[in-house]
Amino acid sequence: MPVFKLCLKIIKKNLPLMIMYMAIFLVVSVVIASANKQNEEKATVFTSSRTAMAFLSEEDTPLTRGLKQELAKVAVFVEIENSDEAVKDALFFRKVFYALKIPEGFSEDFMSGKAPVLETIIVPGTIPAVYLEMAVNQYLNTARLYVDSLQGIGQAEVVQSVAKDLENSSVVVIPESDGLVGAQNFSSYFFNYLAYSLLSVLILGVSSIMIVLKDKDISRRNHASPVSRNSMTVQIFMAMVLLTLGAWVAMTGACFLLNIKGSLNVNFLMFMLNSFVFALAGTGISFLIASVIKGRNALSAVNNVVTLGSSFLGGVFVPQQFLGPAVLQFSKFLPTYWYVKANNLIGFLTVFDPEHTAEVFKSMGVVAAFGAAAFAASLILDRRGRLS
Amino acid sequence: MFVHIFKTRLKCLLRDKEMLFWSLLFPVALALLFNIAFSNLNAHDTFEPVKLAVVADESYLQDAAFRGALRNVSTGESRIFDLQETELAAARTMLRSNDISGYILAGDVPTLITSGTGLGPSIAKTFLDSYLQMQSSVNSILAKDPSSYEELMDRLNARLSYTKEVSPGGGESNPVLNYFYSLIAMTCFYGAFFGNREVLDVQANLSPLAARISVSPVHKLKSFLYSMCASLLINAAEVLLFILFLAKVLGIDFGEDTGLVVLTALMGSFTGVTFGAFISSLVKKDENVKIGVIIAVSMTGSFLAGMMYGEMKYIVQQNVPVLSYLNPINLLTDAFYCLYYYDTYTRYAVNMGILATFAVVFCLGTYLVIRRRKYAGI
Repeated sequence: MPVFKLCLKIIKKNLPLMIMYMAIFLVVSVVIASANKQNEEKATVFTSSRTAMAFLSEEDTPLTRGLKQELAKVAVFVEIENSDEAVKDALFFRKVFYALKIPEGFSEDFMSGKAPVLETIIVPGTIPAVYLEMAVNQYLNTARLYVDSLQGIGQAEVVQSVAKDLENSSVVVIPESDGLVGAQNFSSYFFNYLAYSLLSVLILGVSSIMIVLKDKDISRRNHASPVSRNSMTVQIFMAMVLLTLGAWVAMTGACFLLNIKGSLNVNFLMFMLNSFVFALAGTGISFLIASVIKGRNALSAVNNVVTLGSSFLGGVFVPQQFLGPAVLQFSKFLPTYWYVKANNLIGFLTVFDPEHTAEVFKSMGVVAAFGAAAFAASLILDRRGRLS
Repeated sequence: MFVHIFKTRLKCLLRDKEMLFWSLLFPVALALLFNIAFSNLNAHDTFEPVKLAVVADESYLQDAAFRGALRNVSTGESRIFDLQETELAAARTMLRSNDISGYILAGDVPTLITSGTGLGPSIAKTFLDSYLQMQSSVNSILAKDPSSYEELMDRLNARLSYTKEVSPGGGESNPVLNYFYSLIAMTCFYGAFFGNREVLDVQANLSPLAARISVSPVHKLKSFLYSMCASLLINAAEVLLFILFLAKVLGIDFGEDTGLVVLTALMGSFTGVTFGAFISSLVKKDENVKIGVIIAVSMTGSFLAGMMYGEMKYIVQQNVPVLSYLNPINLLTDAFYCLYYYDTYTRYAVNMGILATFAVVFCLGTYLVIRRRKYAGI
C-alpha cells in the first residue's frame, strides 16, 4: 500500500504542528467548558434565585444591616468601589444588575416618618433588576408599617419585627419530572467545543495531505504508476480515517481523563458515538474543502471561515436557544447544528429507551448524511478534475 | 520620489490578496458572525411578565384580598405577571408543556407549583411571600396596638416605592458591544502584517526585493517612510471601512462623537502598523516566526480585551489593572467603550495618551534597529 504509506509519511511530517493545534484547542475547550459548567444537578428543592447586586451604603445602622441581611436571601453582593465609574463598568458587563445607594442619614429620615428615596443604578428592563426592586421595597414597606403604626418604636425593634415577619414563606413544590433531567455538565460543553476543535484539526490535517498529492508533478507521477485510481482513492481515504481516529481518540480521551467521575455513564458513550459520527462527517467535509482550495495560503483562510462560521451558527459558542429563529432556520443546513443538537439532547437524557433517544439518533443520521454527501461531492469533483 | 515609491507600494500591497483577506475580509466575516450569534443575547435578561396560572378553586374565590392583590400586579403596563385563572387540570397541562412558569394554589399559606428554580418562579415566590408577610405584620402590630386597625388598613394599601432609578449619562449598558469594539482593535492590530512587510521589504538580508531596493540610489530611511505611508493609508482605510460597515450595516452604536471615533480608529491603525514594524525588526528570525509572534501577541491581547469572552476585559480590569493599561488592544477597545458609554473624557484621554506612548515606542524602536544597516555580503 504505497499511497497509504506516503500519506502516513506526510502526516508524520505535519505531526508537530497538528499536535500543537490540538493542544491549544484542548486547553481552550477545557477552560471554556469549566467556565460554563454550572447547575450540575437539577434542583428538586426550590431555592430562590440570587442575583448580583452592589450594596453601596454610606451608613451602618440597624436598619441598613437588617435590609442587607434580608436582601442576602435574593442577592449575591458584589464588592465594588462606590464610584460612578466602577458602578457603570460593572453594569456594562452585567457583573451586577442593580446597585443600591444608601446615603448618610437615610435611617434617621426613615425613622422620623419621612419617605427618603434611595438611588438605584440598574440595567433597565432586566429581570434581576425587577426582582431586587421587589425585595427592597418589600422590606422598607414592611418597616414603614411599624414606624407609622407604633409611635416611638426604636430602630432595633423595627428591624427585629420585620425580620420575624419576613420569615413567613409560601410553599413551593416542584413536581416529579419525567425522564429528562437538566444536567448540562462538563462533558456536554466539552463535546460541543469539539465541533470547533476537531473540525479545525481535521481540515488542517486532511488538507495538508491533499495539497501534497494534488501538486501537479507529483500527481502526474502518481497517475503514471501501476496503481489503479480506485485503489489510490481507497488508500488515501484509509489514511484519512486513521488520522480522524487518532484525533478523535486523543480529544475524547482527554475529556474522559479530565472528568473521569462524570464520564462513567451511558451519556458519555452516547457523546462518544455522536462525536465519532461527526468526526467521520468532518473527514468528508475536509476532503471536499481540500479538493476545492488551491495552495496553503488559502487553506488557513478557508479553515478559519468554515470552522468559526459553522460553530457560531451551529450553536457551539452561543447556545442554540440564544440564537434567533431565522438564524436557526439557516443553521439546519450545517452538520454542526445537528451535532450540537444531539449533544444537548444527550446531556438531558436519563432514560435510554427508543422513545427518548430517537431524536438523538435522527440528528446523528443527518450528520452522517452530510458527511456522505460531502464525500460523494469531492469524488465527483475529483473525477471532473481528472478529465480537464 | 515620494509619489513614485508611494504609488508603486500601494499597487504592490493592494495586489496581495491574502493580506487584504486577513486585514479586512476576516474581521468583516467575524463581525457578521458576532452579529448573528449575539443579537439575541441581551434578550435573555430582558424582563417580561412572568407567565403564571392560578387555580380558581373555592379558597381562591373566597379570598377577595388575595385575588385583588394578585390581579393588581397582573394588570397594566408595568405588570409583573401574565395571569390566567384556570382549572387545576389545565394548569398542570400548561406547566408540563412549559406554557407557564408555575401555578398558584390559594389557601392560608399559598402554594406555588413550578417546574424548577429560576428568576420567574422566584419573582412569583417573592410576591406570595410578601403577601403572607404583610399579614404577619398586621397581626403583630394589632397585638401591640389594637386601636390602629383602620389606619393600618389604609397604610397597607399605600405601598410606597423607596427607590428611584438614576441613569447616569452616556450610552446604555450592552455587553455585546464590547465584542465589536475589541474586534475593531484586533483589525487595527492586524495592520501589523503591513508593518511587518515593510520591514521585510527594506532589510536586504530578509528578502530579494529588499536587496534590490537597497542598491537603488534612494535614501533608505526615506524609501522606508514613503512605503510605510502606503501601508498606513491602506490599513487606515480598511479600519474606517470596517467601522462604517459596523455602524451602517450592522447598526453598532458608537455614541455621539463621530469625530473622536474616527480619530481613535486612525490612532489604532497607526499603532497597529508600527507595532508590526517594531516586532519585525526586533525578532531576528524568518518571516513565519515574525508572523507567529504578531498573531500570538494580537490574539492574546484581543482575548484579554474580551473578544472571545466578553467578561474577560472586566476580570482583568478588576484583578490586574496594570495589565489593562499595558495591553494596547485593550486600550483601544476601552477608548471606543468610553466614547460610547461615558459622557466624560478623562478615561478616554488616558487611554489615548498611553496608546500614543506605545506608538512612539514602536516608531523609535523600529528606527533604532533598522537605521544604518549596511551589508557587506548577503
